Amino acid sequence: MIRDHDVPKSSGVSAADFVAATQFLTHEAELLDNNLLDEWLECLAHDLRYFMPVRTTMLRAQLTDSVSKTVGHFDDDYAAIALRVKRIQLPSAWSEDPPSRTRRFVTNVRASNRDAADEIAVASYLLLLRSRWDNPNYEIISAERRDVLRRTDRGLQLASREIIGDQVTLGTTNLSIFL
Amino acid sequence: MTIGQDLDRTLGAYLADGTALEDLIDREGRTLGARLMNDPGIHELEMRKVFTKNWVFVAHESELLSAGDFVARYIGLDPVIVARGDDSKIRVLLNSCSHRGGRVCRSDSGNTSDFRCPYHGWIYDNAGNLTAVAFEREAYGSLDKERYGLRTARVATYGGLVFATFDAELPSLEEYLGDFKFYLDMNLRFLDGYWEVAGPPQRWVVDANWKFGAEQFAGDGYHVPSTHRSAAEVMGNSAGDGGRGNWGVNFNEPRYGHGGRCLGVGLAYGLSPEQLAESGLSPAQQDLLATRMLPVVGTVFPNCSFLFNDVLGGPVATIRTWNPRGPEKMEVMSWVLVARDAPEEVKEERIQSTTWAFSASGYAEGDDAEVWAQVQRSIKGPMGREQRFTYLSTTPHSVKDWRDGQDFPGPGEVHLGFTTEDNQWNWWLRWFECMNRLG
Repeated sequence: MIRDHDVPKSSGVSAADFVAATQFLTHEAELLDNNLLDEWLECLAHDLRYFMPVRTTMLRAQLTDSVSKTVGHFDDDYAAIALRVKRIQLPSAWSEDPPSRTRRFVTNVRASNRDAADEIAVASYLLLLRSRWDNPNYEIISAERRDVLRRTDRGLQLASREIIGDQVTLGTTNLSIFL
Repeated sequence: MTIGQDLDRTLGAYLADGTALEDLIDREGRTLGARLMNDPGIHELEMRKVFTKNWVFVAHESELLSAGDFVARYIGLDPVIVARGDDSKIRVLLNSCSHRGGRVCRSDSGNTSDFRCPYHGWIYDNAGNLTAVAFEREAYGSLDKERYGLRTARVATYGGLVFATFDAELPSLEEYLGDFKFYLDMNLRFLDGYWEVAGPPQRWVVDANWKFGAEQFAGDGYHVPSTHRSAAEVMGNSAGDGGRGNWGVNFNEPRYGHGGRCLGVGLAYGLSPEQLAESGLSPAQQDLLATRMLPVVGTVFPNCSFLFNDVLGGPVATIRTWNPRGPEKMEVMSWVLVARDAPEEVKEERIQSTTWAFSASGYAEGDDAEVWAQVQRSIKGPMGREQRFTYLSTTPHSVKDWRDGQDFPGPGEVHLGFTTEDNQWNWWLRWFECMNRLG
């Protein structure tokens, strides 16, 4: 159950790989912000792990315990994500129809090589603003994402994503969106 | 307090504009005023009359295995520490220093021998006793420390669930749960120590009054075909058309407001006849367990709900609280439960399927939250506040010819079907009883 918490230490990848990884993340944000969910699904590897651990408030001495190793807000494999995508697009998926207007800002990208030659580890910051109905206040999620991207003959695919959110109590009425 | 306390002592509760709380319920016609869901005065009053005067769920025993273990929780808006003392006893302490109210417990969980207030340095042991006062001699000469322990709640446990109350008069937890125990036992108590929490609770806010969650889980099967239509459609189960998966028996504890639903989609505990015989369950409970006619959803009044079922794409086991965070906002705290002795991969499967179906991201739960939040917005205006919520759907108070000519064997008030609103009404009757009570 204990997940790999390795954060890329520095940009140990080639400039070309770094650009490709950054482009992947930007493209992904574009697809999600434009409700192109089926296209986004094609960016995901079929052995995907997608996990957003629960956070808790801990004293500095126990800080590593502030990221749960067992329980998350998302804890999905590819099949679970694919079913979410299918459901969200049904006309009775009330939580996302009408759809939220979202804006994903992806920054602070770091990348490093992994032991597997076809994979790179990519960390990024995500700031997501979500607007629903005519509510002028945004729902906001800020997180670090720790990804594994894999080179395939169809381009890079997301093989693993860990979303380390900053809130102990999420400020969203639901998480019927992807991070 | 926006509600006249003097009036409330003699005549039941009144709102700031003179409306009697009793005008917001039509007991004969079974309707409720929508203001119950957004009035700031009602919110303020229920913090005291509901949350300090009932047994409120605060923790699972598996979170407090060793002496010194603690978790930080809430009873309504009051932060509390749930701590296992050096004497192994579980206590619930107000997380507020007796000197100036400071926060003495400063992390969500851990193990400690004492709690120290950072403001002036008063120190309490993990039983809540004041043990040391900074500069005691200079400040007080000598302070009678026994008088200044942390405020302590009554604590009782049932089936691994830890409840607390600040009310001295409230009957024991066992009496409070009453006939509801029969149903809780079938998921929680028949195998002693079967469950443990998978980890810390998932927490998120929903822009809706806490009572939406509490009353819905108490028995609302009627919302399933519509609210969860997309969920049923994508999973290809029959809940969406009100079919077998949603048909069952609603049960409630008429005295204290608890309610839930027995459906034939309970968890498969896979017990052998020998284990069943040793489970301590009555023949009636064993009979229901054998057909998985288990309590799959329910609410212990006021705000503790559970979900144990196998119809949402995998086994789901969660216990949660709906915590008020203002008249139009709640915080959900939701624990995933796993079988303690199960292999890691089985535990992981349970965590994943529960999170997938019922959590902030839950493919089913997300639509509940959306619907409640939109009700909240629709009743905001003066006309919206005059809306009357109806609870007209009712079925007889017993279930005849349940099987082989026998009545349904469970105690309490029972109602057949899934559209019945009797459980939710019963939850509200208890709420009004608490709110209109003197003191």
